[in-house]
Amino acid sequence: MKRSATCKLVLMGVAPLALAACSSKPEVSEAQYKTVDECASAGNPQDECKRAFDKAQADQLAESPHYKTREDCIRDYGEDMCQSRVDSHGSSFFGPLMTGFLIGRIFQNDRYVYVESQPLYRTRDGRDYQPYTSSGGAGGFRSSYSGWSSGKAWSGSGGSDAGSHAITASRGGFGSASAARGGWGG
Amino acid sequence: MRRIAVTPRTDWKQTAEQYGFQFHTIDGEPYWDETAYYAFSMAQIEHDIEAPTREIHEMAMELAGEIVRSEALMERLAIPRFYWEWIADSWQRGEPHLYGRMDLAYDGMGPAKLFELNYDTPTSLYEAAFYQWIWLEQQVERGVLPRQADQYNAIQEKLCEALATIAKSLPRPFYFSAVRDSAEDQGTVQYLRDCAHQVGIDAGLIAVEDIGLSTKGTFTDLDSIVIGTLFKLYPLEMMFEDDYGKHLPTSGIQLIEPAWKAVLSNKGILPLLWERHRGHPNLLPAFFEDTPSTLAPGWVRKPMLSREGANIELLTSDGMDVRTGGPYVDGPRILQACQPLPRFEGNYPLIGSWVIADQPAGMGIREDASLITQDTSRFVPHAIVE
Repeated sequence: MKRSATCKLVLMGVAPLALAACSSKPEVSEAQYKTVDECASAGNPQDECKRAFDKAQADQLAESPHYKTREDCIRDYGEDMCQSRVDSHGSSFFGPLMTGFLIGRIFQNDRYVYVESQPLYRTRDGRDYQPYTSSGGAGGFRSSYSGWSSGKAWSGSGGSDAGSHAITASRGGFGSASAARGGWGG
Repeated sequence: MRRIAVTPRTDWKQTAEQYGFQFHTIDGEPYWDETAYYAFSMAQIEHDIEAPTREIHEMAMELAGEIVRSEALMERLAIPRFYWEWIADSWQRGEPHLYGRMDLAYDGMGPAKLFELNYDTPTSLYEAAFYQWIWLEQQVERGVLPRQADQYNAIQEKLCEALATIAKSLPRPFYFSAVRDSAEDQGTVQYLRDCAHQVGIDAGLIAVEDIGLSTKGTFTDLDSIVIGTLFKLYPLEMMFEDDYGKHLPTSGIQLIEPAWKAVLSNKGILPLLWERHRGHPNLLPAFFEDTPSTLAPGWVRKPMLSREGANIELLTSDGMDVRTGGPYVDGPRILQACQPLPRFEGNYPLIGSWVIADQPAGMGIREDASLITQDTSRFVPHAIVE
């Protein structure tokens, strides 16, 4: 078949689409642990726990919140937690140490499939920063708790300006080239 | 390839409106036109459209890498010097791109010929990816089309996949943006946002005109939150001209399509492709017009930066002279050998072949009563029936 198996819209339009056999996406549930042992003693397979921990460990540099100064990092994560790092573009930043990891699983064909993991960084006030949500959405802080939950993180971002509040000085600086030409087409 | 007259669905307008297709009629003229469809064989689709699309895309991407490393070529494409480094950086960083559409002339027999690449702000996406698909499903269900009828259209499926793949690395918040007063563009970004939502990506909508500039030179949404990623259905070269353009390189914003698409949305790419692949069966001879001269028979003159068939002059080898007006009167131009579009019952179809995240994905056909396809052309669905 050369066409999409299903096509549906969920936000656009007013009618639910009767034609498409829309399969609902399995929901990812997530749990957080400090160590592989803690993960395994909660009933998860030891090898899945190890794999999740190793991956989080490998990702922890790249995915950590970025701070321009050590002081900024310490303010959020505490004195002993902040290190100088270098990102993939060669720029320096300060970021906290990984304090735990998050493991995700879905229930599929009558069993659990472990699908993802990521590092967690504990803040001074006891919340954990996670880089991404299970759906790939924006990361944020989550309250610490034990047990599985379907993952929905708070909004917020790691450290670059994106997602932070700014003072808007002006609006309307885009769109004039198009208006001058009476619109544009593609 | 045949053009087959067919009875439109009696409820097609109502169906369109139910699915948010508000621009099915533009300025009182039908835009979506299902009084006919184009029928193809699987061999025509796979050998003559899909395979050349992959090949042309690969040639274009290779050329993009060459252009961003060459000041001479950036100059040749009339890209403002101020943006060169930013464009080159966006390529070096491998900033992800989502889609593009190449326009092909094809008559069912000979090799398809590339007219141009629309790699920055391609439109007609919703109608090709979604509404055309609905049309096929309903016409099969109602017995108007044979049960085995298919369509070259995995566009939505590939869009959803591509969005899910690139989303993880995109800074948030993520916005889709188009100019406020275009129903067509607003419909297209709503559709893209819908696709993103379906794969679990939360994204907002903001009019291009509503984007703010902060005291720190970052771009903000209406709540003064710094925008992380902006999908803009608004041409890069117009952003360059706009007042805020000069802040783009230092703003930290990630654009989709990314800055490096500026080198592929420029018709100067056509002579450069021809220089590198002279005689390629899917390319038409093309040259930069360094000194404006009288157009010779058998040639087309196009502004390097123009959209929707505006400001094109065409003189066929047998002397037929077709010109379109438009706002792109200044700026350098190119010459391309004239390949008249095939004619089916007085209509000239142009094939828009989609590339999603580097993969050929499907097609949509726009038909015009003239040799130059414009924004007034009608969208006509297609089916694979053999």
